[in-house]
Amino acid sequence: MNYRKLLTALAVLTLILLIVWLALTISTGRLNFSDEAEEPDAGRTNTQCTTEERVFDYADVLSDQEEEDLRELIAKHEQKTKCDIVLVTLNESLQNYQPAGSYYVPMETPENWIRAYADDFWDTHYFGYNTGLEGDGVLLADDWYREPYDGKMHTWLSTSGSAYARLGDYEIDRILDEVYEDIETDPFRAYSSYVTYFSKIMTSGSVSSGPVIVIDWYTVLFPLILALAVFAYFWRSRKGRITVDENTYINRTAEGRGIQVLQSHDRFLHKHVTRQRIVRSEGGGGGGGFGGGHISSGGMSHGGGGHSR
Amino acid sequence: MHYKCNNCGGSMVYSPAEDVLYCPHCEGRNCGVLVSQKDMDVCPVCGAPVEAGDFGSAMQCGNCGTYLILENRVEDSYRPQKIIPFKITKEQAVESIRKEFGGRPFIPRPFTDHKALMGIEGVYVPYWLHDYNSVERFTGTGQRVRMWTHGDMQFRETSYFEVIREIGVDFDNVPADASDRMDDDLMDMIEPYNYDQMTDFSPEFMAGFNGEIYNRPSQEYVIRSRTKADKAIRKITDDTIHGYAVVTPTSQNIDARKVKEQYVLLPVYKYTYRFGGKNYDIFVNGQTGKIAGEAPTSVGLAAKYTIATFGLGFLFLMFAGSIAAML
Repeated sequence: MNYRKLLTALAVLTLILLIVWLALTISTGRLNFSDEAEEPDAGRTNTQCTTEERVFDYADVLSDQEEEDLRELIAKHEQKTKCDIVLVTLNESLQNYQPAGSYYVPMETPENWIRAYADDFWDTHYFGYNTGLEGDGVLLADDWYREPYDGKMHTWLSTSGSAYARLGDYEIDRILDEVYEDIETDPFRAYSSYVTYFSKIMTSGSVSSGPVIVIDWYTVLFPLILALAVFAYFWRSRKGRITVDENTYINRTAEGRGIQVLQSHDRFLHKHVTRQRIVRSEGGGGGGGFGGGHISSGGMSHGGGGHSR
Repeated sequence: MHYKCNNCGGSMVYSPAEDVLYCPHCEGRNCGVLVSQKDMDVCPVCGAPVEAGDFGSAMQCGNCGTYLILENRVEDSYRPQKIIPFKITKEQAVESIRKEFGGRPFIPRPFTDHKALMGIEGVYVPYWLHDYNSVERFTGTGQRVRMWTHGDMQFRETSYFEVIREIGVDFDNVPADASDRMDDDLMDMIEPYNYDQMTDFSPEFMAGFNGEIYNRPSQEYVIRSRTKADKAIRKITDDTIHGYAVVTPTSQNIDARKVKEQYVLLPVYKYTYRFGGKNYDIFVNGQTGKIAGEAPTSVGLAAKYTIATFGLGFLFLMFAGSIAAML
């Protein structure tokens, strides 16, 4: 094992990863590398959409004024992002929700249910900035009903078209985190940040929606442990192993006698017994998580992600 | 004395590979003649003074390169009874050192530099070999434990035994190196030597190598060989005691009788490297090739490699994590 060669190989691998990362970053438009020639804005070209409404407050957590303000905010950012931005709040269990379309979607967990609901809402209204089928845009569904199944309230962000391409798990999590910051105390503020944050990401103008660099505890801990292990391994000066065991010097030639057992006794002396009552005990634990890129019941491609509280 | 080549007059050496006297100048074999000289102070070929020190028995003339063997240090009381001739050539020893230490990143590069390695010294080291007839007498108490469960109770039965052993072992050729300048611990570590290849002494084997006579008489080295023999019989005796969870000795003594002593020469290659004001010695067993010794470590190199490992690992995981998040 030549460690220098090993390190060189690691360096090459890291370089490859760098190139892959760069390619991904540029191709998904996260880097304002060159000011891409903007396509002349054709405006909203969706002719199939069944409604002009974007704010569906079925849970009634927003006042009329707040709904109005949100509509304005959304209209402004739809122009900027060239995406439809939809908000749906509801206050009912989705346990018995039946998917609208005929394509199979899993319906095992609350995440499944709200995902189906959100995707279907989008599909059945033919939302999408450029077209009603897999068009560009995003829909936030926030259920204020605490599902008996797991005791949690679920939220789902469904993406389509350019938003699907642009938002990875990382961005979706960031948006949902932003929403959850204020959701309990000020839903209007939470939903507003959904709109503005989504817009920020789509227009790729600021630092937070720029290139993705993930540094977590493992990025520091594992190389640290590895480096220390490498150091310890090579630092200890190996003095050469001792392989002389006791039999090397024994005379086994004809004249010699080798090993002789002259006396060997194992004589029983006495014994005693102790006893003890046995004590028993036991313990337990738990955890969970998931990701995006799927087909809705209407057969449309969606991305998305969910959180719960 | 030295061995002079009949064809070209060059100084002949013993070849471990071919087991023959060899002339490096004209590549002839078995074409030498012994040239005797009693005078130890000057080189018979060029007249330059010879530096033999207190114990040197064979060396190379610093002026003309002739390999000399000092006659009165290989005769009479200084004549070895046996010798194990070199089986490994200098090149092979150098190769094994390079193989052993070459891959280690913290060792300064010049250490495995060919030129430095070729300064390696092939030397016949004086050894006293002692034969012992030993007996160990051991008494102690052994405990056996048995445990079982019945209902909600756990039972533990401890039985006590008197353990008596008397073991006799004959030890052959237990070595103690008789050269003060060779580090004892390292010499222990290049053992074992295969004494089947030990043969009657002839000065021919020494041509081309350095040599030493024993620095002190046999008795002064008895402690070293006796310790090895005692350790061995201790282990053998322990191995005859089994089945006990704990053995507590009450009395234990070893009686070792030295029944033979031999003065022999054993082949060793020694490579010395100076780094940071300290000398580092690597020993290679001239018969088996086994290596012992400590190589220098450079703090600078250690720091560089450790930081590089961390840095690359960090970047690697950072990009991997970032790519995963984007997908």
